[in-house]
Amino acid sequence: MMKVNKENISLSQLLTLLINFLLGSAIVVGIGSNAKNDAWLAIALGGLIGIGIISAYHFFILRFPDKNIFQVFEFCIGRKVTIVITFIYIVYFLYISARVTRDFGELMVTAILPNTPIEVMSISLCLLMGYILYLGIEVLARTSEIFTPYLFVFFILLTIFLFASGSTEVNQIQPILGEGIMPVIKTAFLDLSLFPFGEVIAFSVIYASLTNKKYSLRVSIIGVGVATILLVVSSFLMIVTLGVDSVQRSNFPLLSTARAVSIGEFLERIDAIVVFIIMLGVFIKGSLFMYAGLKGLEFIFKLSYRYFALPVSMIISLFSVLVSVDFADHIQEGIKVVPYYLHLPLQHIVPFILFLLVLWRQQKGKSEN
Amino acid sequence: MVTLSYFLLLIFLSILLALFDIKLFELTFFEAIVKIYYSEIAVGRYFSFAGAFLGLIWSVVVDVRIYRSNKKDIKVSGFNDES
Repeated sequence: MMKVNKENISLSQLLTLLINFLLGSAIVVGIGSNAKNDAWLAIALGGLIGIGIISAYHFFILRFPDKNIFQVFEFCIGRKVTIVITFIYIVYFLYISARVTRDFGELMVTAILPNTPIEVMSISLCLLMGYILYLGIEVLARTSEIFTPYLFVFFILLTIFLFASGSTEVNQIQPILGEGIMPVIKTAFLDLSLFPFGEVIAFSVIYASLTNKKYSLRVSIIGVGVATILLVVSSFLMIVTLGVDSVQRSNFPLLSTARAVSIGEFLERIDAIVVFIIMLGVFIKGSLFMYAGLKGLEFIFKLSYRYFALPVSMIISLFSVLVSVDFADHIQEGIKVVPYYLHLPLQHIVPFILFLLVLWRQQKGKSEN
Repeated sequence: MVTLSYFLLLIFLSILLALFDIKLFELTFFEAIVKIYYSEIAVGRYFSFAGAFLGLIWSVVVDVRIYRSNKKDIKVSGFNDES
């Protein structure tokens, strides 16, 4: 019989997990660039949508306080069908984890360690993710809680350095809404509602471990709000430093932005602090998706998820390399295929159907009573 | 069970990647699978294959340990806990 160890996550840990999760790979590749100068506006609007999405997930998951999304599925449609759907979600979560790992590997190989094979980066990161999840989600949550203050300090430092070095030109943000409101709305609803804000579906597995469910909605909304503010500020910094064209052309715009810092020809190459921000985000996001996949395996096989941690981390490492031939292919896949064939159905359509089923089952239960 | 899940994930993730390659590059399914695992162009992939092999060994070891511990439980208690 499976031993169930109840794991506890505090509200502050939930908050930091959400912030890091949303920054994750979004801050690596930059988001909202379809809205050009108004990317920051699109992100702000996307943040509002994100708050709506997390509130919706929170609303229906917390109708069953100690159940994760897979157990809610089981309640609605029975175990056999749930196993199939759960397996689809496991593949989805692990695939996204592999993509996040690939983002990080590409960043490191392109910008920081050009002579190191990307496979070594992937294996190192995945081993770390596997080990930390083998120790439990609490350890990941504590890691996130400890390192997040540094993230804020580094972010503030980056902003100060950029303005102090005179690399910014605030006029580059203009014209605001030069092409009307439609590009902003399109970007927010079609792109940002799927990546990164729709990806908070991974938290539907985590809510079951929360100690204090009374204020969890408030904390979730604050988490999405803070992450949105950080993304808006980073987008603003990128645009005013590099200009829209360079932001769109750059593979890692925030890193390019940090490289523009030069104070008195003495304080230069502060990319290390950006790499720290990115590394923390990618690590938390990759680990959370992996955890969501592991919880799915736990549900199917009725074995503690810790048994699966290391093998699954190695699978993620392998597929982070196999997922695409090069970075251009990786980005193409991320823009053209993943949002419409994976994100949209699994983040919005299936949970919505689930939500309707939950309402129907609960209504039925009430009327029978 | 851990080994089974390992192989299932390997197969289904490969199929997912192949489907995406079929969509993007208009390949046949077989061509897409060959493209995914074709490693001559990037020798570094062998690092990943070695890692995946390590994961496989780990999963077999875990399964053996679970099997042994279940067997021990049955001997001690006199009945199968899982039933």
